[in-house]
Amino acid sequence: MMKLYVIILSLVLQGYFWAPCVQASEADLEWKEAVGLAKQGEYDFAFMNFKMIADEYPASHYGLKADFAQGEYYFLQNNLQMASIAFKDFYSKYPQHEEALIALAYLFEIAQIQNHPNEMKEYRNKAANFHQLVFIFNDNKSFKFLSGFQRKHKLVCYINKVELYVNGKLFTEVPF
Amino acid sequence: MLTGNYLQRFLFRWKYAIVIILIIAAMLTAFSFQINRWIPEYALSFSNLIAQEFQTKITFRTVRYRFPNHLIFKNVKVLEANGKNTMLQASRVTLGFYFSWFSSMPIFNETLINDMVIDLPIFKNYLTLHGKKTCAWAKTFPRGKMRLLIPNGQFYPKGCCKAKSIPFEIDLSLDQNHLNTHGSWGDQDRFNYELYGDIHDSGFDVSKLTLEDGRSSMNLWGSWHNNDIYWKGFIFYNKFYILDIDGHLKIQKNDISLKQMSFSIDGNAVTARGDCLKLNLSECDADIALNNSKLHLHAQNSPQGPLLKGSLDLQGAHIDFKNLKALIINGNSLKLKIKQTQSTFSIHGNEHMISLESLLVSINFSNPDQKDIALSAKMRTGDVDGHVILNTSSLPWQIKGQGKFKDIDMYFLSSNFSSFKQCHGLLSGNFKLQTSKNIELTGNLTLHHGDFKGSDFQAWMAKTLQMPTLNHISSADLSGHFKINGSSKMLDNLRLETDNLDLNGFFHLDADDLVSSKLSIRFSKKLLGESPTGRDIIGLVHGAWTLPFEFSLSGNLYRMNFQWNNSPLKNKVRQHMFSFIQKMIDQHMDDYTTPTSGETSYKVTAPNESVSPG
Repeated sequence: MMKLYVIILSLVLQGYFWAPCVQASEADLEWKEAVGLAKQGEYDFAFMNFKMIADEYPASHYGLKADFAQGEYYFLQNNLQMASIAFKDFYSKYPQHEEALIALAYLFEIAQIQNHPNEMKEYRNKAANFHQLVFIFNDNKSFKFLSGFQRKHKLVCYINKVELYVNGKLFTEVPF
Repeated sequence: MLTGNYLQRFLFRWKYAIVIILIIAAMLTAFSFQINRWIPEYALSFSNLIAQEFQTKITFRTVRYRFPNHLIFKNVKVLEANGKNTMLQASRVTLGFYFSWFSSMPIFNETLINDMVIDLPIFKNYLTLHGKKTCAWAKTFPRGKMRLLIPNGQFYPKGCCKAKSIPFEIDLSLDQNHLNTHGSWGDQDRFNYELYGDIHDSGFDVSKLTLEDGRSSMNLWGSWHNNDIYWKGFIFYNKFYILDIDGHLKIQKNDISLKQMSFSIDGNAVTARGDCLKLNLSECDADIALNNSKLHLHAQNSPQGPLLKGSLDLQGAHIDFKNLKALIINGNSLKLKIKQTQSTFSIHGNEHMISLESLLVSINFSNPDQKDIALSAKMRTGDVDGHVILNTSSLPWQIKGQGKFKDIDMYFLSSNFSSFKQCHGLLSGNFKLQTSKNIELTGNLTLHHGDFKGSDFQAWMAKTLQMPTLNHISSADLSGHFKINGSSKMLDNLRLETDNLDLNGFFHLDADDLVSSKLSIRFSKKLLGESPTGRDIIGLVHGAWTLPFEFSLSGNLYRMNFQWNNSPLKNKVRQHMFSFIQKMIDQHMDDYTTPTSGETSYKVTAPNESVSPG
């Protein structure tokens, strides 16, 4: 009798943990495929995979990166309006993550390109309020992030500005 | 023969004609002679009758008849009943008349008055006493066509020959109930007027009243029936459009009541209401909305005289004032004495209040485009004096002003500014105020014997530098230059001296509450020793308390970013401290400020390490 209970319990537990494992592995596979396509320059197909990951596996490890990749894709396609919407969604979805500050830097750059001074001011204020910094011996703090499209992002925060480097080049500077 | 007969008949006919003409001429001569003999007597008795009825005296030098229906009076004078003062006079009055089958009296239908002169104070006094009776008499005139012409009259506003006279012209026509008049008054500033209306038993309807000079015009219409006067219209005055005028005045036995009055000046609404009792102000309310600001005035009669109180809402600020006394001097200067004003305003959503007492205001408005305002007031322990020039030539009005304040205890500002809640000290200084697109306020301030306790900035400093003594700074002398431009505020040349610290620097705050500041602070040995880091620094650098710390502040006012800038002291500390200890201190400070990211961590970089972009 005891044996039967153990068997039933083990089956239930297996069922409980198995589904996410399958999901995780599927998200993994989708991610690998998307990154592979991005590396080949097939941005449109890569975007389709990133969007699928964001829609199907939002809770997975790749959810945040897939969401970011959507904004990045629109920006690379020079569709600034859609990029702005995607990065705004990203910022409101992950306000506590450093990647949100990268999204703000993108939004600031888009507002600057579109010559929207009020929006520039709004994103500048959000960047200034993002966190409190105290520098005693150092004078900046940096954060690195590799995006879905395999672009290396580096965020450098100073006491009065934020700089974003993409693939080693200064992408934008948000002074406050 | 035939020719002879014809001539005879012709001459005979002419003889008759001449005889008839001669008879008519003789009759006319006799009539004229008789009428000219009879008319002065009739006119004299008639004028005496009128004079007696209306408590006046009427004199004239001659009166004569002019064919066919005119009477001409010369050198006519209407005097007061005592016969001493002349109210009205004219060199010639021509009356046109006709006889009606329905009236035994001649009806005067045309009046031409040449060189009419009016002594206004006497005439006004007469109308006040006998105006009602005169109007009632005028109403008994038969309603027909009538015309009054005064081509070159003049009136003396301050009494005959006492000051310059003002010329006027009147052309008035009355047809049954319909009145039509136009004319002008004024010499250099000449006004033309036009009035169309209808007279009724209950009152008067004005369908058009226009008044215009070279640069202004007024158009009104309305009615006066029984006790109610209504009017509507619009005015163009000196670049301003006063539109949608709508008023209602009610006149009762002892009371004149402005039921409602509203208009708009360039889109700004003004409303007013008020009451007068026995021709004295009883109670009056006025609401004026200008440029998103609202002024409410309430005047009330009291045994001490009229009391005026009110409130002003000006771009988020609310000013209450009471016991206001006003005096107009020479028509170009207004003196205001206000016992107490209380201003409440809001900064960052926080309510503040400033009370002024014994406020004296002098407003000089002799220049129509510029008002000169001088004011002084007491502010608890201290005084405020100022001088403001208000340029009203265009909207929005431009303000330029300057002033000074002396010995105002900060404690009395504590109810207004929460930051000064537990602060004391005598504040003195000066300021300049200018409005163009933004309001700009600049000035200098000094504070003696300051005692600062519990301000947010102090709490932040004490926590960040780990120096609890900074929570209470006493015996402080503070000075600085301030500038408020729109929503941004700047404090430059800031200097704060106490026994424990010496601070220099600047502090700027932009419209979005973002800070930009650099401060150089020298701490006493005792104060530096309060902080664990300070104690380490004292141990590492000989005489560290003699060297200033250079700090930068930036970011959100309520969560400021902080940086210890490079300085001789910092370099000396670096030389004596292992790099891993420096990193530990930085890490400690990172833990100290609440991290926002739970998933990622920063890599810190020392100033001498270059930031690699990759």
